[in-house]
Amino acid sequence: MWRYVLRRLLVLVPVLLAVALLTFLMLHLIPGDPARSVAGLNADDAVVEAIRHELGLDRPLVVQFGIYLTSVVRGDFGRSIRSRKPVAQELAERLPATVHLALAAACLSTLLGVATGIVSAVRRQTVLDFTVTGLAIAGVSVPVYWLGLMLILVFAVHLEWFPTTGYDSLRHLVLPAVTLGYYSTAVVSRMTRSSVLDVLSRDYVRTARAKGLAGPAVIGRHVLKNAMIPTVTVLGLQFGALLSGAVITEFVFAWPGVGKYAVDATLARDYPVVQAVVLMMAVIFTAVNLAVDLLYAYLDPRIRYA
Amino acid sequence: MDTRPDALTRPLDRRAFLRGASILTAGAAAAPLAPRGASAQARPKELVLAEGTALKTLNPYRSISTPERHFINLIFQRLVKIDSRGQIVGELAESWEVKDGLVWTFKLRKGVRFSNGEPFNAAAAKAAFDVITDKAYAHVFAAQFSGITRSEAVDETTLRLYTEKPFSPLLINLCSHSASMVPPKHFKDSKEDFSFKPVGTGPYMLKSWEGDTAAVVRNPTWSGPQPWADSVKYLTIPEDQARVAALERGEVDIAVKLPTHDIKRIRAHPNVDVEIFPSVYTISFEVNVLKKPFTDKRVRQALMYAIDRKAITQGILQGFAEPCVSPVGPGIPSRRTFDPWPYDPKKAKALLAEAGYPNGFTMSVWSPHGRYLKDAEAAEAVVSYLKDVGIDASLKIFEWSPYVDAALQKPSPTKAMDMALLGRAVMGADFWMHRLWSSQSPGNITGYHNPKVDQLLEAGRQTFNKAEADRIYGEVQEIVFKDDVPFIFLHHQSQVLGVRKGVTGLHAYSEEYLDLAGVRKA
Repeated sequence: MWRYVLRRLLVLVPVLLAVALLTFLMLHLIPGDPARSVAGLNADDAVVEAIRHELGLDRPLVVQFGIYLTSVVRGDFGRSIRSRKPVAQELAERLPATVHLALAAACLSTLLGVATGIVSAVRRQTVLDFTVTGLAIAGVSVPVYWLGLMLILVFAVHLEWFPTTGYDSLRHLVLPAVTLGYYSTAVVSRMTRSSVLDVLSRDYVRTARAKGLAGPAVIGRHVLKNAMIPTVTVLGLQFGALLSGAVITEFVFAWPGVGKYAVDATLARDYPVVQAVVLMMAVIFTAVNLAVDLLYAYLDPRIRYA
Repeated sequence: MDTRPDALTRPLDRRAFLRGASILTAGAAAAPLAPRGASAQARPKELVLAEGTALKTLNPYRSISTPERHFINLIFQRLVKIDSRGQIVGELAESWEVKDGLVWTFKLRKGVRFSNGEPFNAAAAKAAFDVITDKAYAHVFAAQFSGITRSEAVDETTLRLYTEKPFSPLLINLCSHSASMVPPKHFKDSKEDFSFKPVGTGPYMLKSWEGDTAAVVRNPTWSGPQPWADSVKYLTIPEDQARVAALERGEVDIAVKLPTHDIKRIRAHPNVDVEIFPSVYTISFEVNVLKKPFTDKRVRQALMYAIDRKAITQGILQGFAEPCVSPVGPGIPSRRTFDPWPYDPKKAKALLAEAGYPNGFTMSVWSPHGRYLKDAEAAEAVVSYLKDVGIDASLKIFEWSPYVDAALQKPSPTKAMDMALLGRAVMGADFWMHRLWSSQSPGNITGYHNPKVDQLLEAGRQTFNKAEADRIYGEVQEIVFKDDVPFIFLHHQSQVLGVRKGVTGLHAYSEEYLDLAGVRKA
């Protein structure tokens, strides 16, 4: 298995190179001038030109890309064009916030999603199942933006259970995590329900029941493990969605993560920041995918990696 | 309490635990001795501000975003400043005089130190002006100071600035945050890190800045009157409704840029006051006057008549804007006001016919989205007003960065822009009018050229007499606003702030930054 992991990690190198090149090209091809966004509406062209020169943006694209690649390899992501802070420092300040939020939302959607999925499959066609299904449909339909504001209004302004916005303590995490995790919870719940239903009709489940195993043992030992493969796949994909979906949640809750930061950077054509964020997201996404693939082997011993 | 963001997940290490424990036991031991109310007294007096946009840089020579000035003006001082009544007063300079219009001598205050201990003196001021006027440094407001040819530290407290030609606007330009005084040694050593390691002579100094939250605390070297708050915190809450919620909940003391459609409800809140201040922001369509048919001023006047500004300011901006009564914003020295242009579609049609376009023409109307109060909505209304007088107008909405790029192209008959919505907000009659309407200015993006206006604007730079300046700039405004209309003037925006009850002394400058040093909390 370790050889497999190593091979997968090696594949990462060309992937990241391609990501870096594509991001670089796309950023430079879209209209908009970073030097102007630094200089503002009231600066003369001479100033914009001087800034462009200072930032090295007046060099040929190939040279710029070469310089960028060699510094990234040395671990230097450059400085943000707008704030002049080293990008690595800005990311170090912001990445933990996004990871906290995404992890909290992922935990929520895993625990709640799998639990409600099993319950609604086992208690199929009951009030419980309909309730879960209703909530799940609401979950995939409600806009994140609206949900966030409603949670703030109800639980922060009226009930005063949680703070409205900010990033200070666990209490600050609750509303954003629910907002971000609701959609994934719904997806995971639906996926778990249908795969559990599928497994429940299999012969080996009937056999397990026939040999006198108690309900929970059948579900826990036989059904769940077999039903988890599609769910784990969805979870892996959802984690990527959580990282990118964090943009809106971060915006609503003033959460100082990378999502809103990356959007702002893109709008201001802050090239080094956008490139670094995209690269980092690519690494995280690939790592999560690898973890999912390895989990398959654990869940289903027939799957072997060599 | 540990308020660092990672405090909630970081495992407590042993040292941190012991530290906490020792503080706890010390506190427990001291508690019986402490007089009642001591803890309330010792609690630091904190002021919390909620902004919509994050700080990017606190380097006054790099800052273009108005919200950064809330903090830049707490950390830094300039030689001179504009006070809350609009008067130019000394800040780091005690007095100043101009000789022959060419030599400016500033007598500096004695004994001032930067918060890092570096002394502020004429040599420090000269070093600052050397940076400000250094072309390679690319100071973002370099245009304001391009008149300065040389600076000289005559003695410890005397600074001289030399200009090639008489340049009276220099004084008001020196009031700008972009002429803040920086400590020479630290500025040089920190290089671009100065953006997040700012050091000045102001009442506060930066304590922390992580992510979107920053805080300043009292500057120990500050010898002026002490402001009320021990610390001022800057929170970034980009979502309008969330910012309002934080204010209603009492998590913040001051919230800026309240959503205009929600003011009625916010006003009804028992613990929140809404305060309205005039803003210098003036929203207009800047017209490409080198392009047909806009070369004819009758066409531009027709556009002015075709738009119902009152309906836009009342209906779309909910009364938080005023139809333009001047080509420059409130608070600009030598501003002259006129009657607003009436809404007269008949006259507009007549003017179009007179100019040879009885059946109108095709044009595009450019607007950004979300940059100014209800900008795209106002532009949409304008498009339908233009259709009413027979002009086939279409709306093009841009993202900000390519928008600025396209709009700021050099004016020419082939420039893509017909007219583009922009908000202008700079301080000083010259910096506003010369930049936008002198044919000599690189900031003139419309191609507007009127020899009379050029001549007046040059004369304005050479007069040191207030009445004379009022007359000269008044005439420029009359020509630009009443006759030539190179801009289709729309409205002057207002600033809408929310404060908790008990917050007093808040002053918002018309350039939309706050004087936080004067604020008290009951």
